[in-house]
Amino acid sequence: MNAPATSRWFRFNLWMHRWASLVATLPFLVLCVTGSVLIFHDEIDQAMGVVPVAQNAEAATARPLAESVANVMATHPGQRVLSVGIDADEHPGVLLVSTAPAGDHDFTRAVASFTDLATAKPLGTKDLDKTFTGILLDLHARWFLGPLGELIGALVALLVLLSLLSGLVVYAPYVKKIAFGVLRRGRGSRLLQLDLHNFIGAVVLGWALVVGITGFLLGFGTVALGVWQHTELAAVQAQYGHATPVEGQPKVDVDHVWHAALAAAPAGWHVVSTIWPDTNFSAPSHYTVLLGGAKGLEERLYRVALVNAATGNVDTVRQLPFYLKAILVSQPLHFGDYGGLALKILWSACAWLTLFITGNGAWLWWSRRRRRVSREEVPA
Amino acid sequence: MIRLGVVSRTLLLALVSAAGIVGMLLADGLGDVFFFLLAALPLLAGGWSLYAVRRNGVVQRR
Repeated sequence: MNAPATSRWFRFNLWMHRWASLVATLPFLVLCVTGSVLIFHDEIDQAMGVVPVAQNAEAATARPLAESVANVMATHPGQRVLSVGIDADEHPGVLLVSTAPAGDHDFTRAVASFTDLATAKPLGTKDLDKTFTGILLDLHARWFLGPLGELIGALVALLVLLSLLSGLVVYAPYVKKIAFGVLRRGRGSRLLQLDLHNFIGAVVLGWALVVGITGFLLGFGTVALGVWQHTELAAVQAQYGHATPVEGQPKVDVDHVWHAALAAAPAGWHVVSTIWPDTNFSAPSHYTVLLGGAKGLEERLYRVALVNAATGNVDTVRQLPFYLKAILVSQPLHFGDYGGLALKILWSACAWLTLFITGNGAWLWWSRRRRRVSREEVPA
Repeated sequence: MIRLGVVSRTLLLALVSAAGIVGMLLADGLGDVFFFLLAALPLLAGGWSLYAVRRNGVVQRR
């Protein structure tokens, strides 16, 4: 790392740091602003009433899930159920039922309906993509461009990673002259901004590496899901191709599926979501049940149980492939929403500091260029 | 005693911070607090350096 300031390695890294950063400046500014809002998506959604609150969240007994589903379907003619899910930590006592126009197999046109688990009564319907945080997430993760936008996000993350690593090489000769923490005030705004750029860059390096690497991985989320659908899920669908496909309402109801999957899961695990048969995430004859662990990493690394919709038997429980596990773990590490308010504040501070050095880095380049141009224009 | 250069120290702080961020995902309870402090260590070290430089005056190496 300690290359002399005149070596080819140093000059290559200086070039890389300058151009990777400049190309990424505008998209990265958008990512920093939207990302720092999305850190608080739970609090914002709660304040805006995106997910209704159950009045009987503490009730010991709950109505059958099938009753909730039937009540939602009664108010959504011409629709089919895609999935149901419970988030007991964030939204206790509430069941989320995803529906889409009959004949749809994916979640593109899905809307979310909520019911009170204790009474099975509908609490309202929302298109989660059209909420404030839903729109911000679409901009942050997909640039409103769908899967192509995700890949653009991965490219921006790659540029940021290149900028960070080359910046560390560029930083080495500088820090030999200027001690860490020194801000040269009163010697011109350029020197002060350069000191701030290097000082803050060193302070947020670890955080920025984590967010950059996870952002890069998340950019391949849809691609990875597609690979899983066309390999492992396709193999399962072929394996159970002889089973009777479901036509209309499955014979086995969701409560039976829920309990059967729980019984097949390791102790302490819970059902996160149940996907109906004949979707892009399930076989025509089987429910797909996502199971989550109790704490730590297990909470994020789902297992998938396939429950036969005709017999109610759990035919298989599988782990997700490593590439989907990497993307699932990347999600919390990117958004910093897993460690309470203290971590969210740390995440916001790092995001705003990174936002500052992105802008001030572009200003440093522009001011140096302006000075050079004006020197060349003045005759000697 | 091994003396690390400033760049190595910066890199080490960054890796400690990244380890703290990942550790918080894995740990619960007291472990959470420990890993949070690791995650925030570069900010704390930066704040301390700013304070020390202001107290002792500007230090220029060359």
